[in-house]
Amino acid sequence: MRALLAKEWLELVRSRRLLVLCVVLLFFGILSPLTARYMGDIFAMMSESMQGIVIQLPEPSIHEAIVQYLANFSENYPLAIILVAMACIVAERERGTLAMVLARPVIRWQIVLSKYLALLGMLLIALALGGLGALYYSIILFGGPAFVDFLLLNLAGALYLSVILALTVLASTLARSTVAAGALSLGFWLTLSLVGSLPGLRGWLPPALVTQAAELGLGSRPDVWQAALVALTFIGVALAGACLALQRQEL
Amino acid sequence: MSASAISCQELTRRFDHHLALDSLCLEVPEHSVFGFLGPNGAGKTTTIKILAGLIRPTAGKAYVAGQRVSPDDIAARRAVGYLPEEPAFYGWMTGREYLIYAGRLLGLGAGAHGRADELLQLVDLAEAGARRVGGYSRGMRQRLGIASALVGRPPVLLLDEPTSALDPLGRRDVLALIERLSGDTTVFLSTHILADVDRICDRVAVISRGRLLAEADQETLRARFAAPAFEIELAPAPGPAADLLKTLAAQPWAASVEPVDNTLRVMATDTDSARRALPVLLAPLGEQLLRYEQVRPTLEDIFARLVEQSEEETL
Repeated sequence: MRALLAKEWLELVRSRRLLVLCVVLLFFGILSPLTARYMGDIFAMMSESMQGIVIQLPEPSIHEAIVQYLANFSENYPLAIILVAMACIVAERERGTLAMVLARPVIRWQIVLSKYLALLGMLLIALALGGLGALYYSIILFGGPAFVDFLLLNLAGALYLSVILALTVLASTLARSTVAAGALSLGFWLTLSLVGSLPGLRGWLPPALVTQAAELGLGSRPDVWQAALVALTFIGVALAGACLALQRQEL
Repeated sequence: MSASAISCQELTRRFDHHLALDSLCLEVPEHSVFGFLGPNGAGKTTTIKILAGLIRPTAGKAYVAGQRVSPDDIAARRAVGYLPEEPAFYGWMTGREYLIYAGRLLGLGAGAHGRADELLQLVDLAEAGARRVGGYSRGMRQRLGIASALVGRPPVLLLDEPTSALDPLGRRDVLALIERLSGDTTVFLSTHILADVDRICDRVAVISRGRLLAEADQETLRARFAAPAFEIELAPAPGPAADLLKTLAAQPWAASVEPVDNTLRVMATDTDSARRALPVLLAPLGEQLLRYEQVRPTLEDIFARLVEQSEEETL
């Protein structure tokens, strides 16, 4: 298992996927407080040049910065995760490298778990960088949020993204091509978002973690445990499904 | 016969409606270089994949080094080194890194580094070991594949068409490498290149349409299955060769007559009749006849005869 994990990590570094994800998340992390602070000024300048049009935006505040930052967790970040993780298993099966590994004394669930853990490590590092960028500019521009609140916000958001990652690994195991894995991952994500917005399910499915993360960032302490437990169950079921699917596959 | 390194018992594999393996029974003696011969689609790769634990048989059992083979059980995979027809590597790794990785998967720990260097020497990749595999030629990849199959010092090596994609030099190198391994390891080699089998294999099995047609050492196979062959070389001129071909093909003892350049290769069903009749038939040729001899039947003759017989029976 250690050998598999070390290989996965080295591949993420050498293929520059770690670097790309860090740059993307840092960019969006920094952009969020900047957008919240200067969007009003940009629109004001635009309204001056377009006579008769008046654009009214709320007064820039830390609330706006957090809303902007959290929008990434439900829009840009899942997409970035799907793009970097969708090939993780299917591409190895297509190229034939998986058969070379599985002809050795390796248990198939170890493949799934090592890929998920390495990708999760990459996600957490990129998220930490993006979060630090967002926190730094939020403090400079708005004087907040409190570090603990921001940390809790990111932990809740990271748990939601971990679900997306697990579903992407499952899609990569089930699909017969990388493109199909990407499409299936998008399908999982969109379905989860859609079902998570249904009345009655809204409070406890994984997408609720993003809403609850906003409250955590603003100093409230909502009850996140229900959604967190469901998210962990989703991760467990998705990974177990991936292990089972790989176990049944012939190479 | 010594103990079996590989044992297949009624091994059957069906892909939807296609029967890829049909109750294959096979015993491969320890420390032999075993040639597994068959035309394309005969079931060679399916057999090797079952032995490597990558696919399941529909019925029957397979054992490698005494361990039952199954994708769910890793014990047998410790005893096996596997080289697919086109070995796939991580292009971003160096050859040395790949061998170290393979060693770690086998639990070699720190010893994986030394083993990697040792194997790079063995397969003549010591200098290329520090280069990324993405830049390797086919022959180099094949040799790296053999090295990676040998990392855990497996008692059994499964090689699926190891030379079919190589140029003559690459083929020569890989065959020389396999020859060097014989004695220490049981090599199970699938191929349709008969010259390779002729050169390095102690024992041979011929398979067609998933069924075992014959299995023995090469000499026994020749004695048991090969029809006697005669070669007649003529001076280059179109007339006599064409006439002689017709005459020979009409003989009751002639199984087949094949022209190759200026030589006719005659397979006989009855050696004595052929020996008696041929000098009489060839005498009128006079100076046109350059050479006439009874030749040792080749593996190709045996292979062709077995496969043709099998196909006739199927029809």
